[in-house]
Amino acid sequence: MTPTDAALIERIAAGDSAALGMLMDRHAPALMRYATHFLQSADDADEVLQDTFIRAERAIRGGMRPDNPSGWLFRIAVNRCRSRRKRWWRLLGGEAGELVIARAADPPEVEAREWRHEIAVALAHLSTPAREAFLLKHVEGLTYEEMATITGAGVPALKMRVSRACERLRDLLKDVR
Amino acid sequence: MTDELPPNDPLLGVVGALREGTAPRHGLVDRTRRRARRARLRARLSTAAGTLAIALVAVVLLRPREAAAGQITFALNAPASSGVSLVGDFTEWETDRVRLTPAGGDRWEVTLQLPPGRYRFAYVTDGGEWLPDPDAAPVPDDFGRPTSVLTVPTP
Repeated sequence: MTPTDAALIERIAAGDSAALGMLMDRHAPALMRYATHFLQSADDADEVLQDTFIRAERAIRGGMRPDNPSGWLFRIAVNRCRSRRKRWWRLLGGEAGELVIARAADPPEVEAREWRHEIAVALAHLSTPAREAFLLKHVEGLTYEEMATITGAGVPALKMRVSRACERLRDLLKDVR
Repeated sequence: MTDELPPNDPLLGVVGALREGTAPRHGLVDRTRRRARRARLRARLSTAAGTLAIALVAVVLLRPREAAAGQITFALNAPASSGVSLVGDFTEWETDRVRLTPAGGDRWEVTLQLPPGRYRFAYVTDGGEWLPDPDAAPVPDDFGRPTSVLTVPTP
């Protein structure tokens, strides 16, 4: 029988490192997808995932027992992504940083997949809160209530961010396909 | 304003593309374990180098007070606890690095030598309860738990 997240967390708290691996296998795909598109870099997303699970393990061993493990892990990952992005902005600065990030979203495989490249560039043009809201809502399929718990923003604000993000993406991509 | 994209929305193709091709890289679990081990080693070396100098005591949640330049005494009143740890940015949030010592009655205390900077911290009882310092500035951590903020000024 597949252990529940709660059972895995109890095993992690007891020092079972294999249980941490199982929790990672279960939740890493969605977290990786979100972090990759938010940060526009698979390298950075990979580091965010490592950081997320290290922090989660520490918290669990410190007594944390989340009611909703998936949402809790997303919350950690979203915060790690935000922190990483702030660091980029400090290093690169303003709009110039945005452009560098957009160009950095050109991994070799994308050369043959112009469509993905255009999407990445369009996502890079969204504000950080708008990109975060769009990815959580439409790519990860979360409810607005779940998003509110993860991001700390109110449901009305999130709905507005998603709506604005959709409008912007439609506009940016209207001539691409 | 509806929650879902309409059936003919061009963004459906965008969403479909975004849901593909971003699998976690092979070996994520092992890399995470190695990174965690490196972080623990760095923290231990930092402790051994004397960044943290542990001292004494206290009870009822008392505000950390500056004893000398960079010396901060953390104090907690934990009547039913068999032990208390101090966790924070300076312990990598590990619960086994800095233990408060009994200071009489229900009071626990520890004094640390901290370099100038802004630190988040909290107390953790041996029962697993996380307690912020009520007299210090509160701020939630990544997990929504209330922690406290301490600023050690530059001398």
